[in-house]
Amino acid sequence: MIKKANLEAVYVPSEDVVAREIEGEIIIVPIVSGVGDMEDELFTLNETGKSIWQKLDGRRKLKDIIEALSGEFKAPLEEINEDVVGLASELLKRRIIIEAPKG
Amino acid sequence: MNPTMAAVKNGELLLSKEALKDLVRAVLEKKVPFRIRAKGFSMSPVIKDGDVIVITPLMDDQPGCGEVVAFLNVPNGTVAVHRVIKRSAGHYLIRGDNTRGPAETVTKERLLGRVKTVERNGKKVRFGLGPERFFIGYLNRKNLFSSLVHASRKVLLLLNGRSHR
Repeated sequence: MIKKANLEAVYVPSEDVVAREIEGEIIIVPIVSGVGDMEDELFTLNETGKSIWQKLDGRRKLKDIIEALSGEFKAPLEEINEDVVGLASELLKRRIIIEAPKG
Repeated sequence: MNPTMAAVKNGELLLSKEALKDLVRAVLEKKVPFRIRAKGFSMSPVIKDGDVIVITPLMDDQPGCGEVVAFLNVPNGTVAVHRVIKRSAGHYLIRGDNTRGPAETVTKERLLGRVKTVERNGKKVRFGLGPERFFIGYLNRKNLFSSLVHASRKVLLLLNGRSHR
């Protein structure tokens, strides 16, 4: 079952990935069985994906990230909401982000 | 907004040498090994163009003579893989096994990791990374290893030619 990102949740990049901003994109290398593998599956996030990724800092709720992005992007709030939840859900499904520990 | 995440498989991601260097450093800084496809011929026949190598991060121990290391190549800002042929306090004399030019002096700050595994066509290749590395390192230091490899190739070609007559 695909887990959908929760607006009230706080997310953070998993310890099992290495992410770097390279040439305007975010490149994510999953650490599989203790090895970073360029020959396996890597992930890239485009410019707008990068804006979302940079806010997944383990401090802000997803709904606060959407609010912050509404000030940066001239798009209807519903569209931003859908895009952010969509991307966060995809990242969550692939275990690239996890819910931040509470407290 | 249209944020997109793309999955890239089997080394299809085309990165500049500079970008690749950043990625290698980022993974090794996390103290995990990095599996990557090697390009070039400077370490042939131990590492051939297209082989997949595993670079392991350096912990507290420093690589010794004969070990194959990944290091930051300062003139062009890339990651290179060569063999340590001599070690002195904080400095390493490094040269590719298939290189006849002068060896390069590298400080330990430029070392990124050591090559522990080489895979060729899906199989592990052990030659050049086991105990024989000391001997290869010695021959490389004397500038003899590449000559020996070239001579061996010529002999093999000659023998192969005769067997086909």
